[in-house]
Amino acid sequence: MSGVFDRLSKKLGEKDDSSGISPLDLANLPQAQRQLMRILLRELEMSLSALMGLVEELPEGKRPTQAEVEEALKSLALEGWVIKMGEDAQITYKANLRRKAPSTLAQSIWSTLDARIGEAKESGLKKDQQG
Amino acid sequence: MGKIVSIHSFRGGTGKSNTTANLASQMALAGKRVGIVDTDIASPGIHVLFGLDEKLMGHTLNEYLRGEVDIHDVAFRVSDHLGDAEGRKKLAGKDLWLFPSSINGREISRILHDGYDVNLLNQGFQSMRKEFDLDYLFIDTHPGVGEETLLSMILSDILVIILRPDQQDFQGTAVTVDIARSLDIPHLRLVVNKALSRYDFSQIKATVEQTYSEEVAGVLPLTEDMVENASSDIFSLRYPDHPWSQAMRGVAENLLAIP
Ligand SMILES: Nc1ncnc2c1ncn2[C@@H]1O[C@H](COP(=O)(O)OP(=O)(O)OP(=O)(O)O)[C@@H](O)[C@H]1O
Ligand SMILES: [Mg+2]
Repeated sequence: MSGVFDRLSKKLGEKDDSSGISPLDLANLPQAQRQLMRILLRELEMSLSALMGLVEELPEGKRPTQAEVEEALKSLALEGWVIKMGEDAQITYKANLRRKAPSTLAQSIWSTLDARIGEAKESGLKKDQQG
Repeated sequence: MGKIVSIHSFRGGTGKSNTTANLASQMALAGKRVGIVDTDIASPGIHVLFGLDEKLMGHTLNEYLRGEVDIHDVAFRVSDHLGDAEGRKKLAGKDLWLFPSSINGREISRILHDGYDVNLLNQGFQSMRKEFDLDYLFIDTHPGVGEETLLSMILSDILVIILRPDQQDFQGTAVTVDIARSLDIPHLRLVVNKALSRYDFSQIKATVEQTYSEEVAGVLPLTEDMVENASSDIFSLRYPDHPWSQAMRGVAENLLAIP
């Protein structure tokens, strides 16, 4: 069951292009945080107990304790990189990736490109009709 | 749930798309349920090997990323469109799906211009795995280490790095291997492609393994026959006895043996 605030923050999250973690930041996370993000990304949405179940499967030496997991989730949520949903017994966690930024090529290049492609298409069509 | 296999190379043109298509086909032939997603949105290429052109292409990843269609609408079941390609015909009845990126110029410029929701891309990967009950999801990527590349590496169970056995490729591959190691990817394999036939392949394998301290899953020869195939069919299905195909099956067996 997701509350009205979850839905609201989800909506806001979708609009705000700068929220969420970029793949580069993801790669630079401390090991425990990165491993949790990887699990959340692959499973999409999980409760803490389900998450701990998968953490148990990590190789020894790379396996964070439950306290470390909770600490990591707290930091990730503070950054907006993990979204905490629901309340009390129903809490689940979800990874939040940053929107892929538009190419930094100038707007004019895109409109020129778009027009060119349009022209090429049309002349191709004409040729088809003639041939 | 099925494994995610990312195929990378530091340089372009090393043979990622060909390797991905052939590995995926070999696994489908062996009875596995396999998906291939083309995340090279800026310069998609793998569709050609499955005989998919602009006319035949239905919905694409681009439309999915704009929220216009479901991932099911993007799936192209290879066995439903075998055409007359001799190699691909062997995939009749097999469970292989391609999730293509658009090859329409306008669509490509549009997505590069607008960007896209990366959460949706990831949800797409996970739906492919779950809803198609895949044993393997192959991710074909853009060369170099970009954002999509990093994301697909992080998500992977198996990362395959393709390299050419020359000096130019050495430094870049070393960087990619270093990044992969720092990300704790469960399994890493190197594949050498375009090796000159006059060299001793077991020697190449040993040298590359020593250089990078990682397992080489196969050494594939440079071959004119591949160029002649003009990327219009799945080479290892069409010419199963060819040395390239034999080496390719070795790579497939290596990956299949990963628990
Ligand atoms: N072993 C080989 N011998 C000869 N030609 C090959 C071999 N492997 C691949 N090629 C050819 O090299 C070209 C590039 O292959 P492919 O498209 O698979 O590479 P890629 O890494 O996906 O390229 P890109 O970086 O552009 O995505 C193709 O024309 C293909 O036919
Ligand atoms: Mg390619």
